[in-house]
Amino acid sequence: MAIKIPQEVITLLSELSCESVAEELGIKVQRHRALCFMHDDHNPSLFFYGKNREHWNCFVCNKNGNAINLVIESTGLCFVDSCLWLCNKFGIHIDNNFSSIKKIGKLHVKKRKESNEVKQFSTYVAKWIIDNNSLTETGRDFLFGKRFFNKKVIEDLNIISIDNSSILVDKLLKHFDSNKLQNSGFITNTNGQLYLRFFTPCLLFPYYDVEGNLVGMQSRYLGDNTDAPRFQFLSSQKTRLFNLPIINRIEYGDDLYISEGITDCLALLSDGKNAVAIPSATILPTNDLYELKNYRLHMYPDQDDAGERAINTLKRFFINHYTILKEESLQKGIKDYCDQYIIAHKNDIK
Amino acid sequence: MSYSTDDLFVDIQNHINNQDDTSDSKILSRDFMHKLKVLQFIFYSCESMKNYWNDIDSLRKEVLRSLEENEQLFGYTFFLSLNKNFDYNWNYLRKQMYEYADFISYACIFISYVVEDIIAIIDFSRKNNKYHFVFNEVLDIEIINGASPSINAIINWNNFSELNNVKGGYYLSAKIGSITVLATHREYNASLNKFLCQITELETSNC
Repeated sequence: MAIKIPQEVITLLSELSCESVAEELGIKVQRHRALCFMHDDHNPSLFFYGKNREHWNCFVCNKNGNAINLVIESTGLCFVDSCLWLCNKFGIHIDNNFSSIKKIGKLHVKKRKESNEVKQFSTYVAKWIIDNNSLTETGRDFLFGKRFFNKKVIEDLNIISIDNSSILVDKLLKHFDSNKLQNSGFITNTNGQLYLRFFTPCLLFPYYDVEGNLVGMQSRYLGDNTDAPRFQFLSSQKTRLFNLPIINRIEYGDDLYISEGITDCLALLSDGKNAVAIPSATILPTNDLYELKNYRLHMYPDQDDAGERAINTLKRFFINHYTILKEESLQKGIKDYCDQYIIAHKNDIK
Repeated sequence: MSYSTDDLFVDIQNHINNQDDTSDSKILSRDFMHKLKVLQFIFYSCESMKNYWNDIDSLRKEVLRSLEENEQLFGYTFFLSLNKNFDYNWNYLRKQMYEYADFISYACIFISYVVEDIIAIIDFSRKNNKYHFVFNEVLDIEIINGASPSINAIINWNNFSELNNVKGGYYLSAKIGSITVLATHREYNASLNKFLCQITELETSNC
């Protein structure tokens, strides 16, 4: 006998908080974001938005929906079973005939597809973006107006900003074939329309390997949308160290600072220190980190639990490679190196 | 005040960090970085086995299970036995795995007891902080009293092999400078209180 879920029940279910549903499914949610279960995600791409967080979206997979879709996509259940499970979990009354027809047991989120395929990162498209854009007023305000970073440091790192993604996409389409763009890692196709993967306005930070080859890109969102992720990485980018080519300019035994996150790295560089950045302490770019073992390594960890975990993980890694990572202390009450830098330089400017 | 194995390892590293590269302790000790790696391994093993600290047999069983599941390590024993200059045969090297399990287990127990002892010493040092305490000639602990006590934890890298001599317990000395005031063989499952009281009694009788 076919089961039809009443419209009023569907309406109620679609208003449920997707964060609550995610947690019931065993998906860990932090700051309204989670690792996406649909692709090999390492930096949370799944985010929840709306007044009651009743919507979800993965900006990598380009899939989105409400609580019902979330259950369908994550478990593989059909529409009806998903609704029945949600009703049961969240105490939404449904006709007793329905609940007696089918009992949905414990659900398991489908295993994330581990991608062994090395997706191409189009250096041609990346290089074109860098060569044909520069820092906009928004980018300059963030880097120089608010953070007082050294202009030459920013210039040497080829950091640019993009204010309007549509304008960039139009320009790209004039230079590149649409299919090539969609395979570049930068562009996504939603309902026949091409979009830039990065939320704008944003800064773009190019990643280079030790030979100076462009190997990845990261963005830092500069807008007001609180639902937009602050940092984004292209799905095709392997986790790498930021500013790795610096080791070509220093000698073995020289001081080198490691930061967690690019803004701290920019502050260190602006302070005249040699520095590289790990994008996140949850995934270590071990191949790149291994290249650092012959230098005198230092780190100013963030003064929070995540910072403590980061430095302990890195210390452990380097001890295993017979190198000490020296822990440096921030001034009391300061959260991270960038804050310390801003305070010092704000006073200089005054 | 609470204190953990993680805290102790951080304090050991802090002392290392505060030494410059020409420091005598580093120069004198060959293989310093290699020993530090072994020490790190022991501390992380200890922390991961904390549920077994009170039961040496279960701890040893767990360590042995983990070693037996380590395919790389087993392959390494075979590789070593291929070396003609190496006098030991494969059978011997395989049997050494059981000795290795003992080494790891007792090193973990030792570290767990050191941490407990440090907590007791912190309390003791609030009234009397003339002393520093040396554990099995390999770890030297000094409490620096302040608003929140801090620990100076120094490894004597030249005596690093003493970590293999902690099966039935370990030697603990209370020192003022280089002079040993009192020493004891600290057994597992015994309390440190008697030793600390004896130090106090010695002080009183000397007054």
